[in-house]
Amino acid sequence: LSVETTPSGLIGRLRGAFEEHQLFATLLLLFITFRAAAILLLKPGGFMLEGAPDQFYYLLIARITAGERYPFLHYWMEYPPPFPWMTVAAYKLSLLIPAHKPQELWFNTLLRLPMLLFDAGNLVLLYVLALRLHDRENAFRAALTYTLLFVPLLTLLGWYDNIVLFFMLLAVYGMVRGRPVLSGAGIGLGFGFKMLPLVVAPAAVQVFREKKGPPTFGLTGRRVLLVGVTALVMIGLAFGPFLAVQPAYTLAFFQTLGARNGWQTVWALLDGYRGWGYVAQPKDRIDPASALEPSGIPTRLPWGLITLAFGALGLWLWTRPINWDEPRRSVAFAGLTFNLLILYSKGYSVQWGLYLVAWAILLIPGLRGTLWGLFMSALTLAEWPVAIGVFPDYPGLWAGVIIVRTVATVALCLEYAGGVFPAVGWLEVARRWALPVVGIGAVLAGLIGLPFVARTYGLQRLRAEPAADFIRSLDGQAPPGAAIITTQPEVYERLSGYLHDDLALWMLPNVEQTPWVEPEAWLADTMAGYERVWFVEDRLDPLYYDLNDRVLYILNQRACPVGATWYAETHTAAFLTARPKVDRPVTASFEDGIRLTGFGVPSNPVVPGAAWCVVLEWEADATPSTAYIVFVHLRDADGAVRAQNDQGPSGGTRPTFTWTPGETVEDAHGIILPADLPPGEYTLHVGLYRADNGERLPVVGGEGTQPDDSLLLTSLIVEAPSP
Amino acid sequence: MNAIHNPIPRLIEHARASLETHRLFWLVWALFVAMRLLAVPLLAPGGYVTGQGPDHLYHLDFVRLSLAGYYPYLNFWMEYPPLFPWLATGAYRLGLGLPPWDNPLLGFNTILHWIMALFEAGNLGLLYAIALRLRDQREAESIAVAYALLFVPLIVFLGWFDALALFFLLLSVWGVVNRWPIPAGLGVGLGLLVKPFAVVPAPAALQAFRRWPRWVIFAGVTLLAAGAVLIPLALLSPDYTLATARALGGNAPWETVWALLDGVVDFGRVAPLAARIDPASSGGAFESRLPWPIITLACGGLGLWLWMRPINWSDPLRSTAFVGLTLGLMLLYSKGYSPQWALYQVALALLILPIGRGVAYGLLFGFLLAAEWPLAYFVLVNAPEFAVAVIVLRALLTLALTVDFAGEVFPQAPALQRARRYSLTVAAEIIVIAGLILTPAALRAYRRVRLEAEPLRPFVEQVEANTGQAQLIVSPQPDLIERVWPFVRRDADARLFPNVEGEQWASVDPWMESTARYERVWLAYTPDDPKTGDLGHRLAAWLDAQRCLTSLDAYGEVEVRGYAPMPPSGECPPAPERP
Repeated sequence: LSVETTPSGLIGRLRGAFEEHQLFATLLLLFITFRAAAILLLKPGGFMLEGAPDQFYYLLIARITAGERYPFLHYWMEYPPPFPWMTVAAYKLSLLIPAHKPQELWFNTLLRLPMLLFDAGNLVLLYVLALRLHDRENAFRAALTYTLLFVPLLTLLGWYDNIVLFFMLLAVYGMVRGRPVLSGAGIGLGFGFKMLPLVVAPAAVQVFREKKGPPTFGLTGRRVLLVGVTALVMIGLAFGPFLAVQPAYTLAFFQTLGARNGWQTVWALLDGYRGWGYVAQPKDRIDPASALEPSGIPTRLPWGLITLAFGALGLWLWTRPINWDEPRRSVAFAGLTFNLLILYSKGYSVQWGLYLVAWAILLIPGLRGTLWGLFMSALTLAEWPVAIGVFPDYPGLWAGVIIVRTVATVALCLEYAGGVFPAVGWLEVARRWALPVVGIGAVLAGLIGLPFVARTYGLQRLRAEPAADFIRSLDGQAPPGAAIITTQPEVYERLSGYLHDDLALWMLPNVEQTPWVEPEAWLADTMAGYERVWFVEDRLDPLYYDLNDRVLYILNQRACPVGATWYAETHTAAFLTARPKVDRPVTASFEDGIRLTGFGVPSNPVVPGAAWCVVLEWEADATPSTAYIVFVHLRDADGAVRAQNDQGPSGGTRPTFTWTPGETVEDAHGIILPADLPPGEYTLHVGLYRADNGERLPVVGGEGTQPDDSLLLTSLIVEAPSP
Repeated sequence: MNAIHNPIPRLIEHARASLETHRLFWLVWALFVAMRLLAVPLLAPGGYVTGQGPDHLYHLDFVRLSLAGYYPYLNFWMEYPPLFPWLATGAYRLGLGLPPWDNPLLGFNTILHWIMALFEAGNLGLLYAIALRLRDQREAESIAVAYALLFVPLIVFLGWFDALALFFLLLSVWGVVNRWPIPAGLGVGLGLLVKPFAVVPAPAALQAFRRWPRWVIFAGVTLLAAGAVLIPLALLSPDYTLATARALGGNAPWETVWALLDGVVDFGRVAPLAARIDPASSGGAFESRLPWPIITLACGGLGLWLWMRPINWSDPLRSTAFVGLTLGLMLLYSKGYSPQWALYQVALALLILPIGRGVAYGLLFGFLLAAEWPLAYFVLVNAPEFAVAVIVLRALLTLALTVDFAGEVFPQAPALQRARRYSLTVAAEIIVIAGLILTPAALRAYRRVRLEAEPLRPFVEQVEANTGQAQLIVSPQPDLIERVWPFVRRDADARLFPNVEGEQWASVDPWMESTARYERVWLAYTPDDPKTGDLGHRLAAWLDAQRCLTSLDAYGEVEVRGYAPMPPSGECPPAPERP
């Protein structure tokens, strides 16, 4: 004994263990270095979701402590105290280090590195437990699968369930090693982070109960007492200090557990709730009474009966004759209990996929366990980020994932039940078929649903697109020979996925706003192939203001502006590329020294639905005092306006107050005739009105002067469209 | 009869047998591929340090030129050989058919790296297949597991495109160890279209395929593969193709000992994209102080001498080790080095060296990669001494690895074996000791760099100047506390006014009264912040009424108001003007 306890003995044992498990030791080293590097150099959520999954929330809560408000002392939380206090400690430590942009770096690093210890513990515990349950080869495979699966890594980077899993596995380890204190500590400490490690308790009670004497449902015996007392002491350590100082907030934590209605489960779907797990707003947490406010929507389900049914099933299973001394049976029972709890639970959070994966890897040896791990990982990721992050507004998809996950959980229950009751023949058959049936079913469901998912994605993104109305207006309605021009790749990317092939999309060659071509020449060449173009810009990006203004100016001088529309910060301007020459002189004067000296209209026949350009030629005797809008009206025989174009001169690029005496300003106006315009004779009127109040500028002389202060320029015949 | 003519049953049988024989490898391979595929959209390389990966925005910039009809090599020059720019452009064009995500990098990056995942999956397969030729199955499995679990391959896969180049390098090695000149030639030829590293198996291949007609097949396939792409490009666009060749050869040195000797500590700068339309803009005019012809002659002479030594080229381990040796010499000779090149060293170390040594090199190169990027060249960007140390340490480790490779090539050379015995240990010890020594210096440098970059620095200096006084910094914004407090924590207290995004958790009056015991109170807030601006105004109003405003400064959008106690007379000196 003395040899065993000397350092050399300890070192010798460690060396022996290392030599015996050298492959696993290497795996552990790689696991730790890989995950440590991942914490520092990989951001969860990727390029898909910022601050995801719960990182932003942890930081939000932690930052409250900068105002000296602490969890369970000044407000309640839906997590037990240890984790919120871990975030407090990480945040306080991060404040000692100069902030890197953004602050998440140090907070995240200091929060996650301690979690890595727990995750390394998970790997060790999975390995040693698998050694107990299976052979060495399968134990190594289980450890390897846990290391290489994506969900455990993502959980470490984004949530904190690796800690809970550690305590759950520790409780199981204590159970299979016959150490009630260790098992109780795992249950109790785990409860301090999440309630889930309690699932080990039923199996632990059976393992540690006094086997001799009459059956007493296993609640007797010193070792059972040790499990219970240790767990209670640990729970007391986690909650006690806060309960003593601020009992209301600690009680609020327990109250909120009862007050929460279902989320992300079939129960929630049956209740008609399609949202995720609701958490209270930070400010509401100051009032402990707010914990009693039910979240989600009130249940319509008979929860008393459901509880009774699950309880009875659990009790019945628990009292079956099971060889509890056989680790495979007792651990499988703990896994079965966990899955039954998941099925019973009103709510489910995606990160719980970690437990489902870990139990599958541990309990199902070989390739089947790995395939289950992969399958449950896929379902976890289908829920987050796919269903929740990408399709939050399409609950149908989410419901599908929840149903498949529930079916898979039931199938895993059968797998574990087969491990608990190996003598039951039908369970063995069910177990054999569970994975192929569920897997193939899920793959088929995925394949069938894929077109729907793709279509839904398009719809979802279009709904989020500020210029969605513009895109819809072009969808199948853009005239032939039309194109869209932009200078911004972001705009191009926003539009390209939605536009049909007939509509051309062009980007002015430029690198970070520096044109690679002469814009005038490029625009002239590009427009030459089209009858109508839209220029689209995003005014959110000020770097492009100069280039966009330049392009707009050129278009307004060379083409015929039809009009501009704003969709939030997205600006679209439509142009007709053909612009008639000014070949008809006019002598007409307006007040404020403005004169119309000529105009031009196209010579080709006019038909309903056609685009039509009028070019006006203005001069000013003196610079006009204010900005005027030019209107061009197409009026029918009754004087009713049937089509019009109102805009500042040259598409607004030459406001009247910039005109200089003697300067000639060419001002084009595009008009789209209504498709239902009846054939007949129409008249073309022009005039000006003040931009600030709409007051028309009086005509002071000239041919065609009308009483409404407009000028009749010409009449034209609209022909019937050719059949 | 049927089975002879119908290959499908035989293929199925072969696949089943392979699955059975290499069960652990296929398990690792499946998990590895799943991990890579999922990591692409869900884990951003660079983490919270860089946010947007190392070169991702640059890649996005050049592929976006295709929107204007400008394609690499045809309409502008690149510093990369043609395969990757075209692959990236193709991936981008493919993504344009999809409705875009908020972050434009998502679609482009996902498609591009999912395509590269095919090559990365191939890398694992090739490593395993080569390892099976070099070692027994158990060791081959260990090599596959180590590659799957080392961080260097993952971060390089997510951040750069060297996984693609590694695939062709390994393809070539696979051809060499199996005595198959066609894959060997394809690997070198196509690999050269990705990165010049693909040439490193060529010397070993030339020796391995010395006999007619293998030599001719190898050389022919290499030239054909490379020429099939390069010749049409050179014909279609000779200016830009030549400009690219000039760019590859004419860069200023970067991140190497040679660069340090030339006085360059900077990372590998690329020409601004806007200049790429002009072929004349490629190739730097850097005047080196070093005798490059002599260096080239020395390295070339050494390489040639080694190549001509009596080596058992029919031994796959020796020929693969020679590939490693060539890579090591090439990296030591190279004017430039980019951190992602550690991938090649790690992959060959795993293949050639005993697994423990390979893993040790993998870990050390991973450590130095992180120290180089993002630490030295992103975080400590104004602390060149740190970059110098990392470059020297990495060169040392590369040298140690090269000696190790040489030891595998020449097992009979006693001096080499002696050197090899100590190379890794000495290099590792030096790196660890240097790491321990440099850590405090790096922390100090980090503090300095952050302070230099901090717009509130003058305010920090003001607080530091008042040390000795009881000072308190109050803010309604936690981010301002985070930016200032670490620099002044010895000089002042800092408190957030209790609120969550502007929602008050305390009343202004009683809470602010607790500031009375401080001689000097600073209020920092962003008046225009939509969430906390109003609360900041209320705190300012309270302080204006209770104290004398002594300073009023603006740092960007942040306003900092300094207050002193009100004198007994209740008369404050005139308030400073708003800046």
